[in-house]
Amino acid sequence: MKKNLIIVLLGVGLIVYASTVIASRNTIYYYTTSETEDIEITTNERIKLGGFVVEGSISKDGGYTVFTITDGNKEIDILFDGFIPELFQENMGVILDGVLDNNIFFADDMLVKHDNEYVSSDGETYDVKSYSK
Amino acid sequence: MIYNTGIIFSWISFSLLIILFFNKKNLYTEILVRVNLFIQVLLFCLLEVGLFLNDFSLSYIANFSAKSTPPLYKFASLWGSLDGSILLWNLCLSLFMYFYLKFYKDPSSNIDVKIFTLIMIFFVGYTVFSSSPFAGCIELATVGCSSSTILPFADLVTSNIGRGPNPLLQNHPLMAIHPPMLYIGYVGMTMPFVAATSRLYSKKEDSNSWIEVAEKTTYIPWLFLTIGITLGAAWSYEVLGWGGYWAWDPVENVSFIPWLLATAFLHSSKIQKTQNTLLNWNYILVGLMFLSTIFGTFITRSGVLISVHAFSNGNIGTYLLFGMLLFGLIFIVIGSRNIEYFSKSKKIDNWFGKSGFFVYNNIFLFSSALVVFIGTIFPLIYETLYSRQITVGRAYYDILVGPLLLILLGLMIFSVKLSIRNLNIRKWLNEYIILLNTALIVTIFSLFLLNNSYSLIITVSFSFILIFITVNNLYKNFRVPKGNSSYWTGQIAHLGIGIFALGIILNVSQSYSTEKELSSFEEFNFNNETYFVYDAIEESLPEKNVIKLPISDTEHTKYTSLNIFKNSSQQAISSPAVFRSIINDIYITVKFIDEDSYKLIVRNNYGVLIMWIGLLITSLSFLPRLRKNEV
Repeated sequence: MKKNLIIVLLGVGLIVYASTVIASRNTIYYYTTSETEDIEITTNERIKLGGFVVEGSISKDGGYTVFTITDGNKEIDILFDGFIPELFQENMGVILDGVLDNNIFFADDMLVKHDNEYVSSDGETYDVKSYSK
Repeated sequence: MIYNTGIIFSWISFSLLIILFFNKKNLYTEILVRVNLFIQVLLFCLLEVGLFLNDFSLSYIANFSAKSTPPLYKFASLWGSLDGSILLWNLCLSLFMYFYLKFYKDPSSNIDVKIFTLIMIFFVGYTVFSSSPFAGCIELATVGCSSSTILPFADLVTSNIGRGPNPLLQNHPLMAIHPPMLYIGYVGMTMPFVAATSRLYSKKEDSNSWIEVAEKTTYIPWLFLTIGITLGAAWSYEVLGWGGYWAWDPVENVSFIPWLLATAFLHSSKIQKTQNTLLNWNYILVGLMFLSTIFGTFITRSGVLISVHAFSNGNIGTYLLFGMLLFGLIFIVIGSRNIEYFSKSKKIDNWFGKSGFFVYNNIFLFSSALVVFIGTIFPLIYETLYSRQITVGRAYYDILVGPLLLILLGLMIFSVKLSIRNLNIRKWLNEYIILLNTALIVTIFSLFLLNNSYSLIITVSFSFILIFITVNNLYKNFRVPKGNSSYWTGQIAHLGIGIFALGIILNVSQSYSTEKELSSFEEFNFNNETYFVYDAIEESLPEKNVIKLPISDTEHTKYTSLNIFKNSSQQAISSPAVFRSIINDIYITVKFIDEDSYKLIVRNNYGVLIMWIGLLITSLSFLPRLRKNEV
């Protein structure tokens, strides 16, 4: 019984160790736009960037959608090439997936936040205006 | 009216449960259990009535339903958000309690009633003390309700339209049935937990009786979990328009963990019954199954993780953690009182026979569960340690879970006619030589048509071998019925998994997509078929505006649409147009609509229907159990 217990514990330990190692090699970081200033991000590192779509910033450039997002403190320009899952619009909280290079974020995946409020890292709450077409 | 009645009956239910917990007379037990079930049904109906009468003086209804919500989604709004879903949870729990005590009650002791009641008290307590779907609205928000009370007889204010359910939850009928299926699956895991803890607590000589009850009561929630997960995947595919069905999202993961553990237990309990081994292991599995369902609710409902599904916030998180701790403690204490019993567990004597294979099966299923668990909590731990938010990439699961599941598929091939003695490979090969060769030939032929990769070849051949062998076996034995029902259940489930594996590997390895830019009344070619795009149609329904784009191939016209929901969060959902066939789906979604020019994403998704068929067959594995009135 004791021997079995040791084998099981060793096995579990091994899996936990291996999973942790592999998980830490496959992490994707979340940043708010102002956090990108404080933390060094290597070019080509994939990150998730959260923020609010700045009003009047959306335009089309070739196949790309170009817009700017902010968390209330810092704005970052986005070059988006990917599937827009929901009708994407101004003032909406989004989380983008991509690479940051020279203050331009190349994103190819977008998640629209479901709630109506966006809380920035400084704790301030920004309301999203209601939908209008 | 509904507000007062609801809250008061919640209290009554809670008090009844307290009485039930301390009650010593058997006579009252049965009555109390029935009354409790009755009250839970009543509460459920009461909230439904409120939803249909648009009683917006209830905070929950004002915030998660609207006048314009269609009836089906009004009905489903009951479980659309946290507080209401706890009500459904309680209803399921009291149903299972009634069911369990009717069929599986330990005649010599009352401890099973007590443990079940304790669990029920825990969940009903939440609606009584923390937040209730019957809470009355005392302060209005712009739309809906911003502040509420769980005490009765307060003066209420009534909002006039209601906020409506989350758009995602009112876009497809599947959303109305997928959550209850999962809930039944989750809640049902209480039964094996009660069976194990109560029967071991009363320490009898024939202590192995717990395993029979636990095994029987695990199958039901396992079945519902299977159906629930399948429906969730189907919903994701049909509604969300991203072309996929499983994203290793934390909330998907937490429904998968209990499924893996329950699958492991359904296997390992078999060899305990026949060979009296793995006693302690089975006990641990049952405990983990139950705790993993509470953990699942914790992840879904506490909002600790960033996820498409993390719907809500509030104090439920701490409450559930406390519950896990409490039930975990009960589990450990009862376990440690039975050390002597567990030490009677026989050793596995042949590693290449039935027991050996079942142990391998358990090792790989448990490892998968562990890997998924770590992937799920890793971001939490990371954030605690480094105060940075992260997610774990998909690659993590591909690297770790993929191979584990492939090994399990391989093991399943031998599951047919596995003798208790050592498996004789030569004899086995001889018996199945024709089938094996046919399967391999089919594999080779199908590989000519496909883009090849290493994992594809292995998976396809494993799947074909498994499918051929199980079908052959089912057919042979169908003509001469013999064997017990759980054997049949296993074979059908394995056949389904084999077909599913074929579908999923086709999907993963063969699917591709492209983007098309077009204007109205233009056509495009994709996968040797011509598609014609019409002009977009705008439609206004009471609850939403829909922009529909008709697309037709040579035979059918389908719509891909954007659904924009009124008076709720300002979000639109893009629904795909899907041209289906057995082998592949042409799956079209809109990326952009700009005047009358469109950017479409066109996907060729392989194997999706095969996957659903496989999972459907796996779900049908309950059929043999109906024979001989076995539950």
